[in-house]
Amino acid sequence: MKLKFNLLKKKENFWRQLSTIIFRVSFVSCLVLFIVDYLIPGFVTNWFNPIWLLIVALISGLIVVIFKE
Amino acid sequence: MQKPLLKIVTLILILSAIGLGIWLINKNFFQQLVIKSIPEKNQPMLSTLGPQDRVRIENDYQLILDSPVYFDLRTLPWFSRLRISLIYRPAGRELEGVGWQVGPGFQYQIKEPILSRSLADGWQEAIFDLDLTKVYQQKNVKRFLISTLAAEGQERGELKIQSLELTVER
Repeated sequence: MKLKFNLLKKKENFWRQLSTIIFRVSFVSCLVLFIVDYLIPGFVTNWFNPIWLLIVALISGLIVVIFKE
Repeated sequence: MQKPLLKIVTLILILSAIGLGIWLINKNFFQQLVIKSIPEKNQPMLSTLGPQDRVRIENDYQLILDSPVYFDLRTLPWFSRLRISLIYRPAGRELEGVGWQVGPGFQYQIKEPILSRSLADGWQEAIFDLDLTKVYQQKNVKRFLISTLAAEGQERGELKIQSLELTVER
């Protein structure tokens, strides 16, 4: 029973760590792209909508909060 | 087991972000870029023709019913020349020219094509060459118009547009 509990916790930690990485990378990328597009309008948004990265960051951020230790 | 996997995932994500940056730089520093108008579809770089009550879509062709009709181009500051290729067929309306906004409000300068030639089945091609540095812009949006004239003796007519292709050059 104890072993099962530990396995579950380890799994939770893995998803939390993975979500933390995804959150950091997507949030920083989104921020950088927004700044670049603010300085040179159209540089990013003519080709790619950085809102998608913000959505990914939000979802991963929510997972981090839900799986909080 | 999980730590190396997380490291690999981190590496993949960081490389993807760098790849996205390189892809954007590559896309924006082309020597020239061709943008084609798609009926009823606002593209990030090129808007549809408007206002809507002056344009009708019929069998993938855009019909200009009244003059002028406008379109917006969102381009980057290092592109200085614009070539517009317009393939059209007059049906009660003639093409007068293409204009660009020179100041706030309704301030446009209209230019006749530098090259005009006849194609098969009554279609005609008009090519315009414009200096983008002289176009008034708000943020990165430059507005253009297509001016048409009703043919003599015809009150209601249309100008059928087969394709509107814009080439921006550095």
